[in-house]
Order: sequence, then C-alpha cells, then structure tokens
Amino acid sequence: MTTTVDVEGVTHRFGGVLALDDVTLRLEEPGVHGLLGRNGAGKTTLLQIVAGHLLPSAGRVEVSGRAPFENARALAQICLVREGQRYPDGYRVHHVLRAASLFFPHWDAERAARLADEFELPPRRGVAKLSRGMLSAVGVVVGLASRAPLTLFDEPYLGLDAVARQRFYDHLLADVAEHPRTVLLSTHLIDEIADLLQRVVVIDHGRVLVQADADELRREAVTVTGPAGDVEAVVDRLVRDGGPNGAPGSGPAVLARERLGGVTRVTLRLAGTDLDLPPGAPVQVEPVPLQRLVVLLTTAPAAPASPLPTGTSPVGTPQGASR
Amino acid sequence: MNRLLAVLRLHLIVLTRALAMPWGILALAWGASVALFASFGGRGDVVIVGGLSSLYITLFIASLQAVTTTLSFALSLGATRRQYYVGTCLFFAAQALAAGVVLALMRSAEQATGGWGTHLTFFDIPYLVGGGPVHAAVAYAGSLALGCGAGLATGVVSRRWGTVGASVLSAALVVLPGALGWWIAARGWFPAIGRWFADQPEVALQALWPTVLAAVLVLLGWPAIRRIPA
Repeated sequence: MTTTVDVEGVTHRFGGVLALDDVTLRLEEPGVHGLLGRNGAGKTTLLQIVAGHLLPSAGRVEVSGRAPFENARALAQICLVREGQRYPDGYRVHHVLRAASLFFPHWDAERAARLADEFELPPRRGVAKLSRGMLSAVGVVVGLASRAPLTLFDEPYLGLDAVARQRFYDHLLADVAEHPRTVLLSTHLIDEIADLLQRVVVIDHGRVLVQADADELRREAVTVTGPAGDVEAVVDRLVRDGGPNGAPGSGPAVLARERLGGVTRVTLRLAGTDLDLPPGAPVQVEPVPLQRLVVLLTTAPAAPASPLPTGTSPVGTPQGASR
Repeated sequence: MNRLLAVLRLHLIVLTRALAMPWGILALAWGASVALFASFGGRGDVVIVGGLSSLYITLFIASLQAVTTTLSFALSLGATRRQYYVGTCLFFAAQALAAGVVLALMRSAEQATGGWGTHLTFFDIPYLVGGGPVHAAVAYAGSLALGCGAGLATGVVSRRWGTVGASVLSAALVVLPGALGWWIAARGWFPAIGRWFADQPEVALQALWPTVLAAVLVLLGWPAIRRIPA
C-alpha cells in the first residue's frame, strides 16, 4: 500500500499575505522526500495543508485520494511533527508517548521507548522543563514511532546537536527501508540530508521552483571550472545549441558565474542536454551540491527565474513572479 | 468511535490535572470549612460558605484550558476537530453528571448530619439546588454543565480571536445582559417574564435551562473551532 500526496493549484492567504501561490506537487513513491526552501517560503503552510490542519484558500489536496481536512480516515494515516508543538499543561514525556499511542493505529510503543532512551529523554521529565533540543527529540520520537503511512516533519531538528541529528537521519532511513512509508521533511540543513532524499521539492515565496528526483537533480546541474576562454566556449555551445530558444524555463541556462584571476567557474543547468566537451579541453566538470543548487535557485535575481521543469506534473512558470 | 474514545482518554492522561485538581481543591475547602465551624463549637445560625464555587471555578478553567492547550496537541496526533470537540464536550458532560451525583450525595449527608454537626451549609445552594437527591443531582449537573460550556466557549473564542476576542467577550457578557434588561424594562415585559419563570417547574429552571444554555454555547463554538489554526 503506497500513500500518495496530490496537491493541485493550492493557494493560501493569511489575511493579505500570500503564503502559497498555485502550488502543484505530487509524491507517489515511499521514501524520504525533502521540502526545501528559505524561511518564510511557505514550507510550514504547505505541510499543514497536506496534513489537513489547514484548509487552503483555493486548490485541491488529496492524500491517497482523500481530502484530508476533517477527514477522520485520512487523518488517521497522517502524522505531522511540528516545530514548536505545544503540549498540554502537566504533561511529562511518557504522557506524550501514551497520548500518541491512543491515536496512531500503527504506533510502535517498544520502538518509542527505545528511541526515547536513545535520545536521552527522561520519561518522567515534565515537557515544560525540556530544553529546545529535547522538545525536538520528543517530536522526532513521536514521528518515527507513529509509523504513519504519511509522516511529515517540519524542521524537526531545531536545537538538536549534530550527533542527535545524525541519529535521527539514520533512524529515518532504516525505518523507511524496513517499513516503507512516505516521509516529507522540511529543512534548510540541506547538505546534511541530501543523500537521504529521494525526491526534492524546492519552494520559494510560495511557489514551487523545482520538483524532481534527487538523482535527476544532481544530473541536472554541473559546475564547469577552468580557464575563462575554454569554459565560456563550453557554455556558449551548450546554451546556444541546447534546448529550443524562446521557451524560457526549459532550456539550459547559466545559474551562476564566478571569476578568480584567469579561472572561471560556471554553474550550468543542463535541462536534459549533454555537455559537449571538446576532447582535451582543460575544464573540470563537477556535480553541484544540492544545497548550492537550492541557494542559487532561490537567491539569484534573474538567472534562475526559470524552473527545472522535471517531474510528473507541471510546476508553473515562476518567472519573475516571486520578486 | 475509538478515536472519540481516544480524545476522552487524552483528557484523562494527566489524572492529577483532570480530577485531582478540582476535587482536591473542593475537599480542601470543605475540610477547612468543617474545621472552622467545629472550632465555633457548632452553635449559631446556619451559615452558607460558598466553598462549592471552587468546583465551578476549577471546572470552568479546566474546560477553557482544554481548548487552549489540548486542541492543538490532539490535532497534531491526527484527531479531527469534530472528534476533538465532541469527545471534549462528552468528557465535561460526563464530569458534570458524575459531580452532580457526588454533590447530591454529599448534600444529603450534610442535611442528615445537621451540617456535619456544625450547622455548616457547604453543599446546598439555596434557589439553585432543591428537592430530593435526584432533583439535586440534575440541578448540580445542569449548573456545572453550564460552567463547562461557558469555559469551552471562552476557550474557543480566545483560541480563535486571541486576547482581543476574549476581552470583547468579557465586555459583552457585562454589557449585553444590562442592555437586554434595559430593553425589556423599556418594553414593559418584566412582569410577563416573571410569570414565565414562576410557571416553570423548579427542576426545569435549575437543570433543564442551564443545560440547554450550555448546549447552545457549545454549538456556537463549533463553526469557530473549524477555523482555529492548529
């Protein structure tokens, strides 16, 4: 049984603020998927809408074919671990785990106890007395032990130290391998989890810039480093001969260009075209780390205005719209 | 159904909060009153101390806090707002009913022992509770239900519209009855309303109408709770 997430044309406004703008995305495979973007990009709003906590102003959301808002059957399959979740007064760590066991049909109590132990959570410690990192750990334990077919983590690592974060990632990966389920994790610590991610969704200013498989995305962009003349020759050939001109957003493009002395480094979006290297050209071609790619896509004013249009469904054309 | 049960059990997870707090405070108030009156030597007129109001206050606060603190948590566990609201209302209705029975029994004991041998009137509330034990039980339950309903409604308002909403609500609760009274007086309807009250059986005034009012408050809260951000 695979859980699917289907978001189509979702727009959400908070008063006059446009938090999500015509978002369309689809998750079909079990695995760990990343929702990446800057602060205020709309990650939390999107997760809340997918989790059925929020009714979007417009658009359609379905989790395994059911609109989640106020749908008991859909919500029983979803766990959203929020950053800054409030717990009822007087709750201790073991109360939280007991409460979770009442609601999640696939709850694994033994695993919850083991995880709590591993994250050094004293079961009898009052939740109000927990540090920032320990609170995050409580959420992580609930999310992992819930075994919910759709588990959403909204920046679950705040206050967690590097060791605890690594533990979380390890458990997440092992757990998803053992009990396949769909995990969507919002984060801006991209490099830490880049290797875990199966599918990547990048949003910025409420719009989806990219949705693609992580491997595909790594092949999509490269940096070319070398003497300025040689590099520019490669770039020219690619951008000129590559995709059809006049179709913005679909062809190859330069995402960034840096110069240091006589050496130039250009980050290129390939958009499916092969990099045509003349034999013996003194240039070096390397994959772009995911984090660097996301930074380029979400910061450069003009160059990346066109999205990487991979994936199963169209993602709109955010050209200039987000600025 | 079992998730409705889960919401009920969610409220009972911290038993010290759910039950020990209201009843512990009541027991303390009662114990102190009995001790105080016993120290007077059990003489003098019947005195009403009003310690029972502590139970109304704690249940009002508990129902208010239920909405302000457990709603968000229940939603994070995948409860629907409907499951949460129905379960929470059932939880407080059951508590009001159980409390009604306990209070009626204590009232009977109080009357049988001559105010615990000290002329103390702790459990009986003249005008609000009357009749035999069953009548008293539903009267207590009705007024407690009204307290809980008011707490739930206040909680919903403060979660939905924040402190501003709660302030407006408190102001409205002061201003509106006054305005209503003025309007009724201006129309000369007080005698008719007085007759209506006089014609009502005591148990209706003490149990039925408070319960109806509680139900109205709870129902008014429903559209707002759908719009509370999780």
